[in-house]
Amino acid sequence: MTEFGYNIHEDLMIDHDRPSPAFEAVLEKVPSISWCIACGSCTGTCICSDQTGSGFRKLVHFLRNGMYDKLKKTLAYCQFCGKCSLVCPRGINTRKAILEMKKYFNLYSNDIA
Amino acid sequence: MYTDCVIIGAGPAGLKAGQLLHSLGHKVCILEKEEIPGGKLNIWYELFPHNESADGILQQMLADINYPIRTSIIIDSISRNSKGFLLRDQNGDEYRSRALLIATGFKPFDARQKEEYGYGIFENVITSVELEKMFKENKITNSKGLVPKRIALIHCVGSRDIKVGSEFCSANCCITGIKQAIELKKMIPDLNIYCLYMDLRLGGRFFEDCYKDSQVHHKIQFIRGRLSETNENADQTIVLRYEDTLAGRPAKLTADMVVLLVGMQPDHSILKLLPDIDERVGSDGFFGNGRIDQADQNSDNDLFFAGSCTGPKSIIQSTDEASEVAFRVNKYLKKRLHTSIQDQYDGVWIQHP
Repeated sequence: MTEFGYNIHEDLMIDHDRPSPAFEAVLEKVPSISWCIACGSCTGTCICSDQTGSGFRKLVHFLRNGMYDKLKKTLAYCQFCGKCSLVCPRGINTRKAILEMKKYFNLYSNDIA
Repeated sequence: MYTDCVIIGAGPAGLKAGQLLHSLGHKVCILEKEEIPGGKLNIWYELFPHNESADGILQQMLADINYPIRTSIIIDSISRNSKGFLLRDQNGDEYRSRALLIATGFKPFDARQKEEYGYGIFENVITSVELEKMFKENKITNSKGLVPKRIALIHCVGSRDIKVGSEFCSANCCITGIKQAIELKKMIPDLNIYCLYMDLRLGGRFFEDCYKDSQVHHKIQFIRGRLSETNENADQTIVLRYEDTLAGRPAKLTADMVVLLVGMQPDHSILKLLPDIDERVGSDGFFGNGRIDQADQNSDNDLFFAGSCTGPKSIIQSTDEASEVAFRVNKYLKKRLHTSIQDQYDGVWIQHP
């Protein structure tokens, strides 16, 4: 292979022109996600942020910007403890929002028949 | 004309101070360089945070005025001596006063200085002042006369920016942007609105309510990141480039129209008439020292400042300051009442070029 002297990287540009159907769908079910002011209280209190870096703010960010792969990965860490909804200064229904995100991507099912 | 106090500027601060000084029994005259009184109230359509009509507020302010407001006055010279001031206008009229109140307000930042934002180069980049004009005409259209579908509002244009010599926060543009976003959304319901901000500084009363209302009811989208540059597409839409600082990644956005929320700049036009107030101009260019001023201090001072010439202010802050300054002027004038009127105006005039 020809050596150019540099590597090809993934395009990191966020295109705010691109719509996010998942965001629109979840927004319709849980309008309060549009209230997020990205303060990060949710991440600070999240019981799995220490190990995974996850938090509700990030979920909203991934959802809004159409970064669905990362969103699905991060959604898997949530244990629905609800601490993020306790600390949210804007009163966002975070548990309901996460549940709706999981439902949208078919990541929520009861596998015990 | 012989007066107790001449007020320069018939904006909210000048009108408020004039009204109070008049009701306290002083002879007041307001000089205004524009053809109509009202100052910047004339350029706004509705006022934050309650969306009151700017014209309605102005009419209320003018309703109980029964002292002279001279409009279209260009002051040629201001002379002063130990007993007061002598002002001459371009028509040769003279105004003598024992105290002088400067309420000359601010001027909007000239967005051409931020060349990378494309104002004055791309037709669809406008300022918040021009958007207000569109609101007044009840017609929001882009350069092609079409109703826009996507509008970006850019915060902090000419504020907190050493490159244009304004390191201060203009304090009122954040709330102006949110107010304008809501007004736009009410006029064009299917419009997508994006606010590009660094911080949202919403310190005033009910401002946070406005912000939440814009998110909850109007679905205004807030993107944290300062605009870096704009480019124009062939169809005259504008491409914005910035960092989404919450994502830590570069981002772009296409908009039919870009509104620059221009900051408040000190207006120095009065300085050439009053060079000896140089020492009373702060490092940010606004008049006064911005400290808590003891009313009893500087009691011999006959020159007063009120309104947004002493720093970025909302209308309510301007009128509040004007009331306080009016009482200070009153105190000064009362102190000197013991000398006869004729005595007041005699003396040697020192005229500045």
